[in-house]
Amino acid sequence: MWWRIIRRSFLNQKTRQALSILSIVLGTSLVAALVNLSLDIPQKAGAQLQAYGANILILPQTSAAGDESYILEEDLASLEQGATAQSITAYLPYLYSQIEINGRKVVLAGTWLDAVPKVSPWWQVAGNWPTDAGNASETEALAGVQAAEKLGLKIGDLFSIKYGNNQRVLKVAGIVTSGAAEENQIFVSLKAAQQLTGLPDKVGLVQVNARSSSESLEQLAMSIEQQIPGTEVRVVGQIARAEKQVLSKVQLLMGLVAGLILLASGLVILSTMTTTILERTKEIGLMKALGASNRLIVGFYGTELGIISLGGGVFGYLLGYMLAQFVGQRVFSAAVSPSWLAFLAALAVSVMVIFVGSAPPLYRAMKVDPALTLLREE
Amino acid sequence: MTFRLLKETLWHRKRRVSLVLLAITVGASLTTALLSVSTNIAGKMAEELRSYGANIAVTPRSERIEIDVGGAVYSPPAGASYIDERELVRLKTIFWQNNILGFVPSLSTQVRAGENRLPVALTGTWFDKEVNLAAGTIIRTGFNDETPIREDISLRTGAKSLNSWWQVTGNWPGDEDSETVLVGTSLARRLQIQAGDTLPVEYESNRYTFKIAGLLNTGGFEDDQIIASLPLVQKLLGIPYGASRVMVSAMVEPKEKLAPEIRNKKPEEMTPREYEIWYCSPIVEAVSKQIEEVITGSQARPIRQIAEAEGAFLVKIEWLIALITLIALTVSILGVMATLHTAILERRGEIGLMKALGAQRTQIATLFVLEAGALGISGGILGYFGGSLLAKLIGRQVFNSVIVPDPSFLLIAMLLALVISLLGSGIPVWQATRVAPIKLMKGQ
Amino acid sequence: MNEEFALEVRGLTKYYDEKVSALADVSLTVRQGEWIAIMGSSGSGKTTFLNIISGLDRPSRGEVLVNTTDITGLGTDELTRFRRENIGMVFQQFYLIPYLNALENVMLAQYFHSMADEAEARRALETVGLGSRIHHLPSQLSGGEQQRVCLARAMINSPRLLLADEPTGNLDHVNEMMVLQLFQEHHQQGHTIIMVTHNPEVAQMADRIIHFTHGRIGSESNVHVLR
Repeated sequence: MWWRIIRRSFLNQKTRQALSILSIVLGTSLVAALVNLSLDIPQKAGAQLQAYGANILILPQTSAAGDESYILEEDLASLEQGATAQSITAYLPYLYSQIEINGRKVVLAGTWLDAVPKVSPWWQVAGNWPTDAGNASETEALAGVQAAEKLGLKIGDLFSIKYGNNQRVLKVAGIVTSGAAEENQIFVSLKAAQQLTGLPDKVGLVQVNARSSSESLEQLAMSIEQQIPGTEVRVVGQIARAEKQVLSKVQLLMGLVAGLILLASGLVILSTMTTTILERTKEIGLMKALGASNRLIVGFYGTELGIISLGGGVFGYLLGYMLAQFVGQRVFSAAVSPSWLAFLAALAVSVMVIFVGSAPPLYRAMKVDPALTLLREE
Repeated sequence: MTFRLLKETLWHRKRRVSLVLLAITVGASLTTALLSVSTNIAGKMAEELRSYGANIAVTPRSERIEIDVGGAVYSPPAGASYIDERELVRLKTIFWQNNILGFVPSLSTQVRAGENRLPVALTGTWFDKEVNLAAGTIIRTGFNDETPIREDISLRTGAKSLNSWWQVTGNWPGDEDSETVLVGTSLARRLQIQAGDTLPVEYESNRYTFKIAGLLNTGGFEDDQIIASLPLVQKLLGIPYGASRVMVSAMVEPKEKLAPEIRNKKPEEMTPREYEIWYCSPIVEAVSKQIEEVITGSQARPIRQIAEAEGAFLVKIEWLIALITLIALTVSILGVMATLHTAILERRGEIGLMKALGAQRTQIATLFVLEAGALGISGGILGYFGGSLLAKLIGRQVFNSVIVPDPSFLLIAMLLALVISLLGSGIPVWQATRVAPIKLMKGQ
Repeated sequence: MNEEFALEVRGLTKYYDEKVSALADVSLTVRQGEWIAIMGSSGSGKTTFLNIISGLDRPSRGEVLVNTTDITGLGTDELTRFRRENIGMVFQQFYLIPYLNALENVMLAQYFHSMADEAEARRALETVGLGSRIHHLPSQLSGGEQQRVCLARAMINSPRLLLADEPTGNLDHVNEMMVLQLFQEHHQQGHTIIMVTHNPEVAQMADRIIHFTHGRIGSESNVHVLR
């Protein structure tokens, strides 16, 4: 009989129950979406902030005498192994030297040209990126826009460079704009630079893009120092500290917005449920008049509310997850990972709020004798 | 009579009315708060992103190819051109003067330091300088307008404020200091010196002794350098008021905000009208152009590393908050309407009674509509103020600054609340008036 | 205390605040199997009286003994139990749970009392002439039919006291007759009925009419003097 009553309560009061469930689904979907997002967004924002470039710099330890020192290129392979590899998204070695072009001093930089966009995505290249052809008679190069202007170089031009007694002919494959030092430099493949300067397998510094969280960056820097002998590894303060600051703001913002929405949803659900229960006071009065015990009544309404809140909570979470995905895809073009916390939050909100909202009027109805709700003095 | 009924209804059903009012107020608060945040977020985030440092680099226009190694620009004095330090104050007179948050000039050269005469870069810069604009200075207020300012303006700028990631153990040198310097932590390690020590430095056979005020740690190339006040290096090189580079931090918005036709054109290709729009947009390219106009012989270039990443990030954050606002608004509106619908459902008996007493459908509808309207407007107003408080709270907690909702939001909140309550209550009331009174009174 | 008495009331007084007393020192006895009609104008206290003897309300002073049990000393939960074991009630407003059908509304009373018995409930509804409408929801039943369901519900647990408050007040004449007929059958089976009514014709069907005025018993009259 008990289940029959509950079943009937849902089947024969479809509009009312549907409205209650609807308001719960809506409220909890918002909460679930926001919780999901606020857990996920900081990580996505962090990935976005990777576009600011290298946050770790590997430099060779300089001797007390101040001679030029280098890092061995082959040692860099250890960056791809073990725990450090998981934190590093990309790295880029550079070898700098001063060359002469038409009698003018210019900085030549050798690097892994195909890996540059991963570490320095802001480079704007007109023309083409050089192809990494080691020993060809015309080595392709990138010319910084200011250097090109001042040397009168255009895309496709050939020019010769001198380093000590070595000479080389380079071809301008593209021109790079960045607003910084690169604009005054010439870029070739690392191998070509090493050949020209007679420093095979040597590298002057390495830029590293690592996943953030600044405490772990310091630790990462130390473990790299241990992994590659003879290095000094720095956490680039400009990038790392600012990132930390910005991310904490984003996290705080998302958290507060989530809290705001949690509160709002809770209140709206509360007012809907309270309204519903108030209206059913007559029913409660009747049951009490018929002799139903308090335990039975609490059992009925509790079960009904439980079904509504659980059902509403589950659907709300699913809807919320879809909403979070929509936002994640639209804004970051990435999937939002489902979160147990969001699921629990959605359920918690719906269950808690419903019971909190229903408890006072139910309690009142329980305490007050049904005579006052049912009968009137005539 | 109508108003008396209305008053009675609202007064006697206090609890139910206050529940409905609560739902509407909450919806309106959420709307106001989120709208305020989303309209302000770009500006606030842009300000936060300034902690990444300068986004415009100003250098002298010259034929020289800069030798920039390890972040320091070497400018052998002969035949080089420099930026005049005294002109920098003009940066606060350009059209976007209020967006210039700070500017830091620098001048570098290579010296020999320590007993072993190590080749080391020495850079002079501003640490924490007060820059003054006298009353009467002309500032650009429009594309073609200029006004003299009425009061003195002063601005503090320098590495201390612009380069927030510089960490100094010890003391900062003064901006006119000719003897004390900062030494980068890596260099200090190599030279085995610390704060308080003296440092012998040699430049072109002149010997100097500097005192180390503190050690500088940045994680960048400054860690290998000696950093001094700008006048110190200018004296060393014999270039009074000269700077080889000025880093400028400007508050800008992403270029994506410009109309697409203008966005992709070069300034030379634009029509006069388009150029004016471009010039008066707070984008990094326009600010750079304005800088070049006031600093003689300069070229100002956006530091793409900072500017591009900043722009992309801001666009994403704005979209994020906008979408969240949209979703939250839609969902709250639906939620509030569900609440209103539920509230009306339980009053069907009342409606039936009124019909049984002979009231016409329109009369009943009017009464309920007025009630809904009154609740809607009150809820909207309360919600606006509630939402403003929430927005202020968020602003203070997250950005340490004020988020003030646009006053037009009051009107929006009121209108929205009104429409929602009219629809949310009106539709079920109208439906109910169609049902036979006796059924309504029996609670069906 | 006599087993012969279904209800004994002594010195029943109920006030709501210092000035307003709904009942003042009411005393009466009802024998087993008696049908009492209580009449009086609005505000005379008749409904309050009914509420108190059914256990829905409490007196300020006095004793109420239903089958020798003094219900004035019972706690709220005990009163609830008392109600379900001893009292059947029919109200002027036909209170039925709107989402349960006729059968289930009757079974509800069984369920609260002991155990739901569908067959017994169906028989009860047949007795009141609703055998073919047992699966209808209240919204699908006429006023008279709803009241008959209430009657079936009130009687299903064989209560010692059947209390009715203007049971035909909202019914048309035809339905009124039908319902009163059922009351009569119930009375003839030996059940005790206490009914509040303002209709003298209805009151005439009872054994005794008690008039209430301003919270007191004004007069009593036996209807069937010659019986």
